[in-house]
Amino acid sequence: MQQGWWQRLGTGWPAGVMLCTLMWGAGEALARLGGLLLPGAILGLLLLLLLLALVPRAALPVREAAARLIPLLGLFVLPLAVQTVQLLGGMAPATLMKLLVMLLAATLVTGVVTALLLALLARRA
Amino acid sequence: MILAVGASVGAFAAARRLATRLGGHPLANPVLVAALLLAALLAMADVPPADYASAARPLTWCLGPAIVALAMPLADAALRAEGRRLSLALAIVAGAATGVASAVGLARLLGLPPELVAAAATRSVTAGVAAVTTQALGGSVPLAVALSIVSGLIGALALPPLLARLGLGGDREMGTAVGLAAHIIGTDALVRRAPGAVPHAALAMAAAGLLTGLALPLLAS
Repeated sequence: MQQGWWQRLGTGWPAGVMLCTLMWGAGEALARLGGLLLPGAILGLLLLLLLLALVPRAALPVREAAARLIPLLGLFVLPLAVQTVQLLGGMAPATLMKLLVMLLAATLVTGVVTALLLALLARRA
Repeated sequence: MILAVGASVGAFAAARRLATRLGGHPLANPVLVAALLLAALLAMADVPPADYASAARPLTWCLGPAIVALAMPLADAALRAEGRRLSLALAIVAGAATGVASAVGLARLLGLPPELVAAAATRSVTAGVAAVTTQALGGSVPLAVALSIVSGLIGALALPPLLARLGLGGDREMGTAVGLAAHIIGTDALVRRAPGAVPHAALAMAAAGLLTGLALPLLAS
């Protein structure tokens, strides 16, 4: 029986990483060709969701790749995070204080509104 | 380039080991600790952080495939949420909208400069998504990453006890709220505090990232 391209590619994490990279590239191309402001990685995420719905077998290597890539998200943002130390360190104390107040209030409001809404909807159901 | 990538990997590995030793305390967040360590090293070596970031570009490049891989926990969690998808979707959409509106509204109210107001819009999504979304919007990527990390730390430290005190400490409510407001840093903190809440947090984090990454550029255009 003739094997499909997917079976030939394999089911390990390298195939999953390759698939994620392909979807990211496709997302970037879509954003650029369509003149969209959307991030290519987010479009790639949508494309991968579509692929997972259409080709359930693709979940095997993608799950393996996700288990390796997602815990490394922190490492991948590290070069940007290092620049933030300099940026925040160079800020005027008054601006930094306002920024912290904004972040504290917005984070707590977001969390409480989400949890409250979920509890209310569950009670109504 | 090899030196910058090697130093980043070394600092991140050391910071992760420290975080494990300290029981995963949010203040021992590996990104925060490794960034402080690298910033100190760069200052001692008199290397501008922008030069280091440019040399460590292969790491930043990996953000693309890693964000795409968030599709997997999103698909898994969506399958598990059968029967309560509508309420979950409503709460996540409302929470993500609150996250953007409250941050931008407060930033304007407090008279923060425009570049901080723009960076505030993506502060509740995980740093990787904040970076690519802000890049698409033409804002300051390092600022957006900074605000995302600080928000995550605040949410990981303050949200679980606050929600428990308000009677909203169930796995579903706490997981969704912490994943949405404090993304990967909050989700990581729940691994030790409320393991049952972690799948809910992963779903909320990935869904909020997707929603914000799609909606903000569309609203901006």
